[in-house]
Amino acid sequence: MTEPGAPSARSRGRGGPFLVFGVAALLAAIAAAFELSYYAGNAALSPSILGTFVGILVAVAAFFVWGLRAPPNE
Amino acid sequence: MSDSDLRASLAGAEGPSVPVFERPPALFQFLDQTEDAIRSRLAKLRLFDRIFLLQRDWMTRITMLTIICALLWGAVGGFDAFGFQTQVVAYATGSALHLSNVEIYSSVTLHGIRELFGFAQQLELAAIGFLVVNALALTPRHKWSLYLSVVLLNGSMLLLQGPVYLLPFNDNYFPAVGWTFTSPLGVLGQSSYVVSPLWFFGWLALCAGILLWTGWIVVHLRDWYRKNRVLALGRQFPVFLWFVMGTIVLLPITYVPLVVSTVWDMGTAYAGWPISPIANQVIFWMFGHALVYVLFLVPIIALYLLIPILARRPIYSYRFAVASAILFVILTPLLGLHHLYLTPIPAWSTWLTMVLSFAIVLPSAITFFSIWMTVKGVRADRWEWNAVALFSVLAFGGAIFGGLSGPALATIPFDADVHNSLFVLAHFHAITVLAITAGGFAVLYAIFPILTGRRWFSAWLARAHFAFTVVGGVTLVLAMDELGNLGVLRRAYIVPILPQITLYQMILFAGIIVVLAGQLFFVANGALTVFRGELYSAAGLSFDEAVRSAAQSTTTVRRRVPIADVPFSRSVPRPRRERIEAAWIVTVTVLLAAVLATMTPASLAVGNGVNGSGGDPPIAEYVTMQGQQYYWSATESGAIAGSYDNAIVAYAGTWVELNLTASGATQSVLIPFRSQSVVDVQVVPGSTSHAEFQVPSAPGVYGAPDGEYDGPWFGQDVAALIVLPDANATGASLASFNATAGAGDIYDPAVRPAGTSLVGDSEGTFDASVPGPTLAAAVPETGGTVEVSWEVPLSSIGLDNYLVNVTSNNPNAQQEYVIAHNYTLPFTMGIYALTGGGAPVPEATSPLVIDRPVTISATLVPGVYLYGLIHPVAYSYNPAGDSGSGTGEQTGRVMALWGILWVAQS
Repeated sequence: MTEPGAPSARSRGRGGPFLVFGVAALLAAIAAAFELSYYAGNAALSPSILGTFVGILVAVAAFFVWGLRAPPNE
Repeated sequence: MSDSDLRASLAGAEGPSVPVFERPPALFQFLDQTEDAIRSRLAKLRLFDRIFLLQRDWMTRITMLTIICALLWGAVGGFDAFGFQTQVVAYATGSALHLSNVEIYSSVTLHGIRELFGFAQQLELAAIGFLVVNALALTPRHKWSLYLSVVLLNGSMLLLQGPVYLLPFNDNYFPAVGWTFTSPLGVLGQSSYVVSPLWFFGWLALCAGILLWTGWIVVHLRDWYRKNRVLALGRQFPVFLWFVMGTIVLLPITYVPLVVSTVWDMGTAYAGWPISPIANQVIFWMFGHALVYVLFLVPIIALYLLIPILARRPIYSYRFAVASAILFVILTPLLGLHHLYLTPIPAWSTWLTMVLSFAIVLPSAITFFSIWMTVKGVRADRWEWNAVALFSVLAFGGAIFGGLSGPALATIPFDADVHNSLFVLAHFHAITVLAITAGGFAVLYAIFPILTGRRWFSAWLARAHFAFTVVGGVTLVLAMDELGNLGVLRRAYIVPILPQITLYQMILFAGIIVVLAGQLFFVANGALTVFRGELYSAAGLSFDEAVRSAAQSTTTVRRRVPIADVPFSRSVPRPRRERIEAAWIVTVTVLLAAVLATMTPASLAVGNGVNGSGGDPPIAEYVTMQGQQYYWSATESGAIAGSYDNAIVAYAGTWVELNLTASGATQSVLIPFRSQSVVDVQVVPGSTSHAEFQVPSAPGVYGAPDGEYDGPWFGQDVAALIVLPDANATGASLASFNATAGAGDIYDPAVRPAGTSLVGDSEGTFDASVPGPTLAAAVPETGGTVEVSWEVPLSSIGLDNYLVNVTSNNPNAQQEYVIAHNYTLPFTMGIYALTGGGAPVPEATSPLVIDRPVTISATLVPGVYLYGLIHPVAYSYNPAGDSGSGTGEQTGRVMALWGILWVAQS
């Protein structure tokens, strides 16, 4: 039973460091992808970077997939 | 360890009574007495007492002194960047420049040096020393060794800025050589631009200071190990300590190559030792790259130290974290060659470096996954968003932001596209500003109250500091990225004046201002803390509790999270946690292998200076180019035969082979196309480089800047690829060139009608363009009259204009020389036929007259011509006879008052 006045389970989780660090990582990855997208999207220059660019995108996706599936640090 | 225990142990370092046979040597006694005398007098002044903590133990005093010195150099280095960008923006907006080219380029040099070494490296040493002594409860020893290391480090910053003449005042001997000194640039007898010997002594002093500090910390770790030998063998060190030890291992590995490189340069300059620039550069980059990782370990140490403390739980996977530290140490010294991808070194070596550069993704991947997972399960009401936590999350995100472009830059063909462009600087500043600096501030916010005994004065000032750093840092990084995408080179201030470039330069400037303004909040908060902050005591607190308590003085929320340590019992077994982390690392490893397999063919084609020919193309034009400071001398054979300065001439669509050598400085042929493969090859003196490329199909004039900084006339050092129509189709217009905007190269000169009056500017260029605007005319097949008009105003003549080789401390001396010589300089301007074979043939000429409109005309048939001053002129900077081997020298041959006249058939 929850104590009167105690934060609910929902509010305890909101704004937690796991979420904030995850959002920071996501924003960072979006910014990095934006930087590289100029070259990846340029027909003349993309052969130089497309393989690495796709690799980075897949790695970012894997980072979040494994991170969300991981058990907590408890 | 409690703070009172800590103070007692620190005070013991200066115990009042020791037996005679244990007394320090007479020199140290004298130094101690002198220091005490100075300290007691300064301590009477509240300002000094509070800021330098003069009443405290010596370890605290030196740590505080080091932090203040670091912040001072950080501020000066920030001002350097501000000063540089004021000139960049002034040039981009057509305003007058207030600094000479030496001052402008040296601003960038000193910005890098002061921020990297004076600020970041010094702050790292201060923080590590303080943390190690505190966390391991050590009694610090060897005070004067630590003092000497601080003196050497800060003294090196003074030496590196070079001599300044006070009477008559002259500060134009600052080193304008780049934060790196890629041999032979700056070396007496090898280069037209020569630095003062103070430059080399500065680097040696820096190395001595760092290596001495390394010895100092090793002695303390040895002390700890001897006292805790049994305990140490069976104990888990804190994770951050593994990275501290990694840093200590990397420091000598990093700085010893710098000693070798510097001594070699000095031996060459002053003792006639043989020189091998490429070998010297390989050695130098063992330092240059490793330094980046030594500094990158700042945010990593900060995160491994602070996140477990703030989260009140151990790191997610201890074993993976330790493996990460070991991998960083093993891989870091091996990657320097990826700065030399485009130099003539064997393709296998660059490919192997690419493999190793990919491999260093692994320890980073482990680290950032471990850090994120460490906070998984931490409840929001058990976490406080104080300044330590905010800067930690910034360091985390900033490292990912900057780090993700790392493997891209390690990909050889991509490096050829963006080498030396501001894209590289975007990557670098994401790491330095958003990760390294942020990590450093996270540690500072945590230890400053422990150090000073006072709680932070204002949580709101700390938040403002954070907000300005984030907004300004992200702005400047993205602006650099956009400029790099356009092909703008690093260190360049003479850049084509295009609307989008001017816009992003101004946004970059705004980002710099916001970042610098943000640091003022930190300085103000620090000053207010030492003078007006509440007293802070760590008595009775563990180290972790002391850090939480210190961090709590920077939170703005009323409800505080308890700082007390709480017992932590594992409910998720290690195999479960490590299984998921192992899966993540396997995923990254497989991806790296796949990327490597995909990119290897293109990488091997670019290696060794061969630009993506993909086989043996039918070469139509063979060009031998000799790179000088500051122009190219080209001799061609094949479909077109001739000799030109700063020009390559070829037919559209044909293949060209370049054979390249250089003297005086490493140089680069860069044609930053955006609608076909970039041509980018570096040329190192003493070696021969090669490049093959296919000429664009549209006839026109394509800019080809020297992509490698080679001294103070770097901005004028731009050549042109002149693409002629097919040999059977002379007289083609520039219509197709204009329709496709060339090949997207921003350095392509603008096309203007031949009747346009050109105006010379203070940098010795026509209409702020090198080459000058391409003038277009049309005449009948049998020929017609074509005019070229220009004016070089007297107001454009000054110290930055190489056309008048008069250097003086009198700012009007150049203009007075022009007036005294009847407004006529000893150079010939003209129109020259390009297609006649051999050297360009004059069609019409005129003396270079200043401050008067000049028009020359000639009867020309359809074809391509050069106009202006088409050969370089000699320049030597030597006001009041100050220049010399002890001060510095600046000579060279420069040409920038020229362009192409394109005569089509009407």
